[in-house]
Amino acid sequence: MSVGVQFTGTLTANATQKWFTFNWPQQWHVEWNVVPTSPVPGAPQIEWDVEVERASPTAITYWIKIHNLTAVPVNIEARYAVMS
Amino acid sequence: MAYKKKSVEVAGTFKSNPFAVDFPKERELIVMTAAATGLRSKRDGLTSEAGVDVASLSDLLATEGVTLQPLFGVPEEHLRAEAASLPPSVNAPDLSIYYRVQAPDERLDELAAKLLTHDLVEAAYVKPAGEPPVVASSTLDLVEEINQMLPREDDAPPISPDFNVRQGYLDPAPAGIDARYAATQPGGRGANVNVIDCEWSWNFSHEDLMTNQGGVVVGAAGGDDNHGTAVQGEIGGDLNGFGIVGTAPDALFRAASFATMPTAAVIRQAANLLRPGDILLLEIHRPGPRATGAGQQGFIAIEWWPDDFDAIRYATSRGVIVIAAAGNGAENLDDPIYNVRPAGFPASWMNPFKRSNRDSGAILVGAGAPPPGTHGRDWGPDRSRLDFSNFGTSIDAQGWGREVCSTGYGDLQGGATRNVWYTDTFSGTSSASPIVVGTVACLQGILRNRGRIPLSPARVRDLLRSTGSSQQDAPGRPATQRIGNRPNLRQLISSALQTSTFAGVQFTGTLQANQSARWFTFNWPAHWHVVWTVVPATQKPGSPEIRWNIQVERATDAFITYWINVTNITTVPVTFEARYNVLGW
Repeated sequence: MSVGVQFTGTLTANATQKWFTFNWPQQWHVEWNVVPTSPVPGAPQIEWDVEVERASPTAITYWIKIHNLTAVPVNIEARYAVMS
Repeated sequence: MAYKKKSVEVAGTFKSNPFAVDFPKERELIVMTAAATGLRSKRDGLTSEAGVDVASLSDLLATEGVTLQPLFGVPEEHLRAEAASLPPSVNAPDLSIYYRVQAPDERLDELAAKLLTHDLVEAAYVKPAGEPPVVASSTLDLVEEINQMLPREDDAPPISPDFNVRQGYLDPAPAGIDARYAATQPGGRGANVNVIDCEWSWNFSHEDLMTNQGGVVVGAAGGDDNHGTAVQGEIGGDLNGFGIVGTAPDALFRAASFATMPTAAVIRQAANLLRPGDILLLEIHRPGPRATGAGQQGFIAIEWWPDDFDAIRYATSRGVIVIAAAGNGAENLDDPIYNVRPAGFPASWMNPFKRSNRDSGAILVGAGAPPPGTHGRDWGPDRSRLDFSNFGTSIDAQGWGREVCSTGYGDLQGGATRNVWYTDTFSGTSSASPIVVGTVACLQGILRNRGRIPLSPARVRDLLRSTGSSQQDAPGRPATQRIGNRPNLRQLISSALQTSTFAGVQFTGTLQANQSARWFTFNWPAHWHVVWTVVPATQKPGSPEIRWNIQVERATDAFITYWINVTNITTVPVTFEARYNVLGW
């Protein structure tokens, strides 16, 4: 198991943005997790989902779509966990 | 509390510093207006986005011949957008309500008093000039002199010697922080970490500060540059076989200057240049309510002032690690005097040194004694509080407050050009704070090298408080006068890299036919990588029963709240369980 941060970014108010990250070995089981880094208590700030592309026989590209649920900019970091 | 005057006795012949320049010192009149007013200060006058009548405030300003200038140098609507539409419970800093009034110094107090009488003004206070944490001599001879070193008269050799052995603060714990061990780890010299030092001036032409530096990126440098040069050397001194070596020489060192801009504006701009996990150093303190006028006695950390607090809060809320000198005022920051709201501060102000009130997120650094015998001198038991250092429960960690060998000043090696000057006696919370900065840069470098999640401000504070070499008693300065532990990188690296994996069921619930509902679960450590799964417990073979998604809230620096939306997509009630899997951190 290894965990880490793949990228950080900023979403403007109510924006939805898609990032991609490529050349992940196809045999890896990767879990993604996106969290805000700007504390704003009281309500959810973001939601996200992952789309997957088999770019080659050996590599996978992950497309990570993040939606800012608030009316202010939000800083985020996208974390991965390689399970096996 | 009075100091005993001491002097640092160093053999040699010294000369006056031909390059000495005073630090620019300017008091600042800060005005805060009611957020509900939606004030805008433009070239052609004041307006209110909320339709409030601002004519009387305009008249008052016109009568006095002054204007309100947005303190952060950014239009109010831009700053307001960051604070708008937040839930009422949010205590995020609204920087749009801060203004600065510029006028001759002798008028500032009178202007503050007049502005404070106006209904639209929530606060008007004159901030004393900030200074680097040095202790200047006083006519009363009560105050110890530090960082008043003079350069040696004798010329430097053609190639500077290797002074590394004199940098005991790099040594293994408990004497040092064990940066020598960190340097053996990939990334352990601060690689891929950015540091911005906020103070006045630096010598970026010094022979030992040529690599991994980006110059002044906010404001313009002004004043004597020895202080900033010594700070820079402690963090970023080049790894080159001569002179000194920094704690984190692979970190990118840049500078932001208070010489020409309001301090709060400098902090905000510098924070905007950093990523989460990068480091902002505040080498400044100001005279607090108990300042005596004798040197820097009674000087305290700047988060006590509302605009500086909110600027620091702005930085830490972006994930930037703010490390601040606690100040050389010899003050107990737990003293009740710091609970007393000064005239002119907003009614909502509370003592930030009592963190249960409110918390800037900064890491405050006190000054501890180096091991006795360092450079042949004795400042008391190792890791005991030095007499000038502020202390209290809000101080997070200590660094060497004496005998720090670094670049600048010239008392260790002088010469005709200050580009070869070195010091053996850099001191104060000034010298202590860069040691903690270097420590954190090494840690973040190691984590980044491994692709790990960089430490958040709250996590750095937690690790600094839970590891390290403990503070020692000194006669008259017991360890109960808290300045915290001296960092120990070997322990810190081990703690930061430690990880764990576990799973469980957080809650169960029932949804009626076609019902959607949302649950939240809070106080999850922000550095944990948590994966959620929701599965039905009600058996209904043949088609899907539920759909779910996760929304995420960063509730504080330290904790995350997960919001779990679950929809029953059947026509019968469904019971489910929400499972978590902590994959590490």
